[in-house]
Amino acid sequence: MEEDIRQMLLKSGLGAPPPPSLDIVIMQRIKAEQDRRIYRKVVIAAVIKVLGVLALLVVTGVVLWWKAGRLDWGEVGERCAIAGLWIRDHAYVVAGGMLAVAVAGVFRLGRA
Amino acid sequence: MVYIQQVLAGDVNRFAYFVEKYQKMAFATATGILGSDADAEEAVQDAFLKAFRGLSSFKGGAKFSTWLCKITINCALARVGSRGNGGGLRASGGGLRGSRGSGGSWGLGKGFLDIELADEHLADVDSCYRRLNDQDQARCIREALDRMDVEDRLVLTLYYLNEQSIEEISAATVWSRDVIKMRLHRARKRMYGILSKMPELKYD
Repeated sequence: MEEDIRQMLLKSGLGAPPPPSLDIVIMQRIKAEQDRRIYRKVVIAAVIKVLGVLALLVVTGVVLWWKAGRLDWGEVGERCAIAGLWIRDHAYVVAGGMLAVAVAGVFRLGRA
Repeated sequence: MVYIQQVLAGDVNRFAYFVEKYQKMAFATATGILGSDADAEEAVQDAFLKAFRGLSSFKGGAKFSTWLCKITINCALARVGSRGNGGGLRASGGGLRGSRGSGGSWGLGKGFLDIELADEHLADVDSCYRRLNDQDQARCIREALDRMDVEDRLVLTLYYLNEQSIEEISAATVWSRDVIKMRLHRARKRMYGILSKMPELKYD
């Protein structure tokens, strides 16, 4: 009976071989996925490098400015306070933005 | 595992080995669940893509074929779910769900899938079946499979066509060994039961 059922199922076309182009299509999709991964990694690496260079420039500028004796810490504090007040007044916008970045990071960049 | 490590190291062409080796098994599994070749093709593509994405999580605890089979089943069931016929396997036997046919073509009631042919009548159906020509035999089996529920078709496909062992089927599904044995037994009897109700195969 076991062999009968196997033959019956085969006769119905259930065990038919897949279309010959299936493996090609699968490999195309996998290569596209790999390309997306590489692209994502390249973009992330570029963004990190640009941010790093900018941070380095800012730090260097501040240090040089400070060494030249032209840095007014009172003014820096004042500007920080203004920025703090702006964040307080726009707390929902800031929190929403941070949340969006976090969600994007978890669901998109996590696959990279 | 060597091929997997090579794929993980970035040699994506090595994945072709898995595609070539397991596409037949994946396609048979998906066709068993979905019926249509076009849907099965899509499900198999999705399954291989998911396997590629999750390759780093494959630790080799089970066979690669079993792992891929599980992914294929999930992809195919997701497609069944998107058609509105439910989207997962039941952990135990009993009940009906997911048949593709309406059940009305032979004037049968809603519960016709519960027909399980008694053992003494199996030979009668079998002898009627053998009298049909190849074309009619194929059509009858296709119609019977269309009217069986997803779980029955799946277990028949995995066991008879993919020639997977009970252990492998258990690892790829949510079923225990006993449930699989019971499902196989009932699926065979249901298939013969449905066949016995077809006008061409009525034995009495």
